[in-house]
Amino acid sequence: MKKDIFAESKNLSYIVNKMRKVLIENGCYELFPPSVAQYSENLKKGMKFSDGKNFYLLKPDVTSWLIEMDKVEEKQKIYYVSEVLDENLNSTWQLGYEILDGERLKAEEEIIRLAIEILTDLEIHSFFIDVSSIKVWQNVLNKVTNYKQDIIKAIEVHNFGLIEGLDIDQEIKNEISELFNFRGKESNIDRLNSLVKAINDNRIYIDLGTIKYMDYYEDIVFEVYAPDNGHLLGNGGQYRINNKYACGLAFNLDVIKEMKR
Amino acid sequence: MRISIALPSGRLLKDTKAFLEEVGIKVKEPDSRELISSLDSYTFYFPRVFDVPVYVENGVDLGICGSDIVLERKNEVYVPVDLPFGKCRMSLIVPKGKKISPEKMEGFKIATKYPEITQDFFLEKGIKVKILKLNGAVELAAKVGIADAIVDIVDTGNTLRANDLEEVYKIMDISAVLLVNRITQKTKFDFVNNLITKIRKIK
Repeated sequence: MKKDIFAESKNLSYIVNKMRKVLIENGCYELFPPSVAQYSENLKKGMKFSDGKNFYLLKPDVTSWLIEMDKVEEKQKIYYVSEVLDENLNSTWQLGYEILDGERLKAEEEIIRLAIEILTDLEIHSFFIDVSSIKVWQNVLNKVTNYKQDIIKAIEVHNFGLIEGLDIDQEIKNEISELFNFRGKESNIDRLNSLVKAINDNRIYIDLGTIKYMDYYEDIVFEVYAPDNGHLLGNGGQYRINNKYACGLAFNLDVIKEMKR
Repeated sequence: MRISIALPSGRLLKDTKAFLEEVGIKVKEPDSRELISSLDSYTFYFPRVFDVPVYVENGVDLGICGSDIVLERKNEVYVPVDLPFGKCRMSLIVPKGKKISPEKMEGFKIATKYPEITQDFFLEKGIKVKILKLNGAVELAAKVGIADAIVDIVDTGNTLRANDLEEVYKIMDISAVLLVNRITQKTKFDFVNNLITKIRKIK
């Protein structure tokens, strides 16, 4: 049976319109990213192709494209709806929103508050948002530069056993073990604590063990998920464009559509 | 709290059942030809072993399969602990008497069930090979000559000897592994961490 493209689009349209409404009411405007971008190793995802002269990417990750454009001069609050492809042409529909040239921690707070408002408006109440810090991990990795790749691999698959076998100081292993297993409301990282406190929602947790992200993120990252769905509803974090402080989050529309079905 | 587990049908199942019982999870195999069963607070799924990571990535809480399959399928799952069974190795194999190092295999045809692992292995060495993806009985490809070498799992080595083949290079050691869905790691945090602790004690 052929996929009912009209019913699928109707579902997606309902969800996107609700999300757009919240974002517009909160001062965001829609950005229309191009489908094709000149290839750069800084661009993430997208399907690589060539016209015989140059290489391009079809539908790359929008945040990495924004960073590559490097055009931000003043504060912007934008959102976009875009299909993102990977190298095997697997497609994900995303709605992302970003605060460019924002204020430290205020931008993160607003991004998370918007996520809560969007999901509430979609009548999705059973969700959680985890926050973590890339910098905390980088500090540890900088102490063991020889084993950086091994530790990143261990973090990615969440396997502390891979680190136990490495020839590194026991104190550092203990530090890594604590990061791996930390999940709670209050950590020893002030900026995460103050973010959680400022938002004051019992669905926000600090989870330092989950940091599989794009490499453009600088410090605080988030993951949005629901207990009854095995996929992330969205994820994002803080980065820099043109040396300006920026923060954003992208919802996976395919997962949200599945949840609303 | 219900926990769903994807278990490997096939030769790993017996050891998996015995091991899970040791950590307090009693497995019930499905009646007749069903592929699902339930016992206590667990629901068990019995997909093909190659598909276990796909189930875990898409919402099943836990899974058990070989580390070779995780590396081949490249699904987004956590692999927090190796398990003390299903030990074997993945090797590069040639017909007996034709021993040659992998560095000299430029242009070779390599038959395998594991095209991703094979590709990564030769790419790392800077050697270009042609990969023939097969779904089983890979030894035959080397024996009848449609491939110059094969990449496959070696357990006792009996199948290789029976087919006049020999290993030239061990690509990696393999064991059974526990898989955890990324969201389960958050939403069932205490259960998952307790299970991993129990497993590590037994290991």
